Amino acid sequence: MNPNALSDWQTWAAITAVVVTMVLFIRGARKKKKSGGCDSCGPVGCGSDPE
Amino acid sequence: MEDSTDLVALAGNPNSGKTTLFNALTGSAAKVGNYAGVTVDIKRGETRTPHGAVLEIIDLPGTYSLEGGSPDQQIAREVLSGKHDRVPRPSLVICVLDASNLERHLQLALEVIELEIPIVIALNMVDLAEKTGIRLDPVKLAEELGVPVVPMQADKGKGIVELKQAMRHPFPAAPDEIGWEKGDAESRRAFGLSTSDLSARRPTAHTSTLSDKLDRVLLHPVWGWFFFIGIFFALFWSIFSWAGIPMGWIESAQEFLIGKVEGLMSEGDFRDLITQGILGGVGAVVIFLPQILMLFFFIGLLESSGYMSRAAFLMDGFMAKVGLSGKAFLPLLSSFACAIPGVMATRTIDSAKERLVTIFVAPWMSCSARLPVYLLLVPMLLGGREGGAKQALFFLGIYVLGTLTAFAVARILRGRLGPDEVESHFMLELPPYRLPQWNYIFRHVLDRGWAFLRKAGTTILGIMILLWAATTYPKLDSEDPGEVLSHTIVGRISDTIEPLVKPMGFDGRTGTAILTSFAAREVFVGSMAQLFQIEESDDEDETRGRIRDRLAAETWADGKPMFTMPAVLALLIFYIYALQCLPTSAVVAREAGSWKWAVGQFVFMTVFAAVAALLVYQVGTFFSS
Ligand SMILES: Nc1nc2c(ncn2[C@@H]2O[C@H](COP(=O)(O)OP(=O)(O)OP(=O)(O)O)[C@@H](O)[C@H]2O)c(=O)[nH]1
Ligand SMILES: [Mg+2]
Repeated sequence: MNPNALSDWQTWAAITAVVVTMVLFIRGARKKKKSGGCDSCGPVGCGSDPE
Repeated sequence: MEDSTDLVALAGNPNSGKTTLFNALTGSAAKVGNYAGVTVDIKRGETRTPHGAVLEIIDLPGTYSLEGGSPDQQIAREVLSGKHDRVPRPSLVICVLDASNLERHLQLALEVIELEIPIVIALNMVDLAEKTGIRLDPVKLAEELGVPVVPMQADKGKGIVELKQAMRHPFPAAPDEIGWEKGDAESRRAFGLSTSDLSARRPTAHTSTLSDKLDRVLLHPVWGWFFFIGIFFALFWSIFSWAGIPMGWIESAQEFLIGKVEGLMSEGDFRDLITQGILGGVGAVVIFLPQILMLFFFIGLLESSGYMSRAAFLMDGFMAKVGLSGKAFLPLLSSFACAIPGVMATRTIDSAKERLVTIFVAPWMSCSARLPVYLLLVPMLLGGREGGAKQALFFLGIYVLGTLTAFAVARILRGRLGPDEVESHFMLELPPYRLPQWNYIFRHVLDRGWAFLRKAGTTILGIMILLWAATTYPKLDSEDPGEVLSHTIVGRISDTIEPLVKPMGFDGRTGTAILTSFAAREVFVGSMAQLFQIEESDDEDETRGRIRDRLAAETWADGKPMFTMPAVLALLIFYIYALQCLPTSAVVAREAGSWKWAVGQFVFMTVFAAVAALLVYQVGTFFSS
């Protein structure tokens, strides 16, 4: 393990990636709630999205 | 919808080729299959006529008549009569008729003519009619009806140009005079029969077709079942034996990339995120792409061959025993691909209660998202070797178990709901066997594969990144990897839930992986790949290697092996039964008309899964010790 973890650019890059992911997830969930659709249908999409 | 573009609706009996025509006109790849009730919702697209006009095309579910019928047929009826709340009345209806079945299909066309909307008749499947020896006379048909008739063969694109010519402005007006009494069903029927006699002359002697001969075997009370089981066995067997090679390629690519990244970057968190979280976690899921493609290919073959209705026919007697009709078996079969289209397909069921029961049990048919989980666990049970008849048989068993449980629950639920107000009449068409439209199957399989990759690149990638963070932070300065792990978020979660999942034979990490898979089932495989590599991460050479081998070597603190036969079986059972798919729940809520059904289903299935896993592990360890 890296003792002076926070001074290292990789840690910052990793934390940024994690934060961006979280933001995207929250935004995605909001959008989905609004549209009420099922765009992330199944593993493979259902091919029958509601109108 | 814009007002300036004209709306053209495709209507007709089920299985007449509407969607095939829709795809040909609009270039889409909407679902096509050789059985009645493939399309259960409105599909939209656009086409350009040779005169440059843009038309909006909508594909409708098939309907036998403009009266009565199941929810899917209701949609078609509402649109045609202008009563649908989101779709305006179409300015032109293309009525698609199966020329080899004209006397039956013509009835709907007559009903649509009575509505006085501009109409063009697409006399489809002329190839089939000719093969059966029917002598078609489209000109006579047009004369009798007073509307344009375009003979065509939609699956080969023949007649599309002529049809587009007929779709030009001004649209052909509905005939001023009709040859039967408007609104009188009897008179309409008689007119339809005499017209179809005149314009589609049947050969006098009935010759036994290839379909008849095949059905003598495939619908045979004994041989029929033999083939039914044989077909599904062959399906799983080929998934195992053929997918191994492309799977190996993906695996080597994954290892190559991990090696490259490790060579290029210095040690650190970001490198770990890439190698462990992204390449390791997402890669563990993507490896199963070949199998997913194979499964969809085979389901596509089944759907387009005409065998689906035969399977439903065979199951009819059995289904009656659980209080459902054979028709309910079609949505259940579709659920092997994905429960969502399966739930949607229950719209073809007339009886509301039967429909609710079918919706409730549909997620128990093993969907393709479970495939990666099964593919990870089954070889662990059977000695780790991939391929072979034994695994195919075991797989068949998994699918049968899910199906039988679905039936048992359906039976109990059906009994509780009480008898139906309307008598459900089981009308199952047995269309002739057909060769698939290969270009459609190809597109369909690619489509599904692409959707799987998209999901891997979005939802699964996101969860893998978050999981990586949760297994890494907060950090502890220690030499003991176990201590470091239990200091992290995942370590704390897994220590908390371990007492809960231990009776099922799982440790806290497996429990955590199960938790993450409530976002999507496939995530389980990626989570396991991440969670079970951490302890070895100080030993660089050991980090890689197959998840399965790593799991097999895993031990409890006291040195006993962790993934014993009962434990793996319990995991498998949990995944057969648990409902871990939010989109499915959303669709169930919509189709059943209430959130209560979706919530009830989720709780019931998840509790059932946990109890079943518990029982399997406890009984299993009791007997194996
Ligand atoms: N021989 C032949 N087969 C065709 C023709 N057009 C379509 N088919 C086949 O007929 C079957 C039914 O096609 P679909 O387009 O799904 O029929 P549909 O009218 O949309 O059916 P529903 O959605 O169930 O109402 C498929 O197997 C097609 O491949 C044709 O002109 N000739
Ligand atoms: Mg269709």
